Amino acid sequence: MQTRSLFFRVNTALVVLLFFFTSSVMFPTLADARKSENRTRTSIHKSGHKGGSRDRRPNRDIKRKTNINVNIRNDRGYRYDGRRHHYHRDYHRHNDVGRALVVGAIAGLVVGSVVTAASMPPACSDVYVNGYPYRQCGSTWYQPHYAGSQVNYVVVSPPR
Amino acid sequence: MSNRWRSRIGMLLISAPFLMLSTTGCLAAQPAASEVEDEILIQPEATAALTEMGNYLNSLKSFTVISEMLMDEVLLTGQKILVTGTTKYSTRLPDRLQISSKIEGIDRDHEYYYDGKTFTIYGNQDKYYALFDAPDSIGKLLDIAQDQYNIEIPLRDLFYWGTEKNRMVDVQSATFIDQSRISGTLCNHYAFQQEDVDWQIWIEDDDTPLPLQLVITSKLENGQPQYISTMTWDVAPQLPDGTFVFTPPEGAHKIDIAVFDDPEESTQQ
Repeated sequence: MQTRSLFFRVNTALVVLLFFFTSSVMFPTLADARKSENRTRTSIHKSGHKGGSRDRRPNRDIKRKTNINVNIRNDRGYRYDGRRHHYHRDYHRHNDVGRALVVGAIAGLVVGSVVTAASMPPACSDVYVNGYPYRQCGSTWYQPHYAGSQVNYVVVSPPR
Repeated sequence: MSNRWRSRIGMLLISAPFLMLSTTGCLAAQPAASEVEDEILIQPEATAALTEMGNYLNSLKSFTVISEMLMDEVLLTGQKILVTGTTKYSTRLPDRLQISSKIEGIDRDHEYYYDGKTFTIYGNQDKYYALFDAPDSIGKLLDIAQDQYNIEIPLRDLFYWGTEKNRMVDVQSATFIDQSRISGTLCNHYAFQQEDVDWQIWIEDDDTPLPLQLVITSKLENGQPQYISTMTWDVAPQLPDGTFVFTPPEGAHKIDIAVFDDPEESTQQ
């Protein structure tokens, strides 16, 4: 009887752990379904040079009520040269969601990671340091910048 | 047995010429059909109407236009969501432009200012603004905004038609459909095809040939989403200089704006 209940306890713990693990993997996928490829053309004329650049623009988030996933990237798609934020035209944000969630939860966010406004954690506060706007979410600091007509946030070292 | 084979070979020999005839007939019919299509593919009256509209637009010194839009957003699941929005353009040619653009459903509420020297983007929701040095005409500005800063200004065509930037060569077919009314105004309805988009335009049927409605179908995208814009025009607006100059509202903060590199250029670094 004693050993049996121990077995049950271990078993229950395992099931609960497994549930949390799978749901953490599943959530980004569900949130992903709300994203749009967003390539509806709003002009018949393509852009001026190298015409095809329109086809390689990043995806956009459709408005959502809840922000479950943390949507981060820090790779070839983005770089900051100290003066300007640069994006590659061929980056696709949604590919990294699942991995980023796990990395973010375990290791904390790496300086230079880019998060879309829609994917920012909900509990953050606006802080202004030397007139520059930042968002502080716990111990992580973000700096906003425009990427096209949307605001993205890049993880920065604490400014103070 | 041999009799049956003989009759089979006989039938084959008899039918062979007919088979050959019908095959060559089929092959010959194909190019003939497309030749006929080629002849009616581009109706001169449709392209002439576009030229006339472009020339009229280009003759305007200044105008305001309010575009009510409907746009399909295709989700990764393939589901299509129709979002609505309003964009107001205040223009003084060749180098003044102010745009207020609001799209519900994707959280867009932006203002754009171009005063001939600087382009500013301002978000009404987060109150961030960013700016970059602008060239000396609206056409050049729209190219740079799109290519270098990935800022998509809807309905850029209004500033391309009637200029050297208009690309009539991309049009593969041009057809007059019928006359119909947009917001009570009699219009001529034309349909055009390009490699990447099909589009339809309703042009006012009087001595002010303004586009009153534009529909663009993105053919190369999943679900072939559509963008529909219905326009209300004022061709003699009072637009003081201040209209085009951005003055940061209280609580607004300046932030950086990202430059979008082409992959081939960035890999060289």
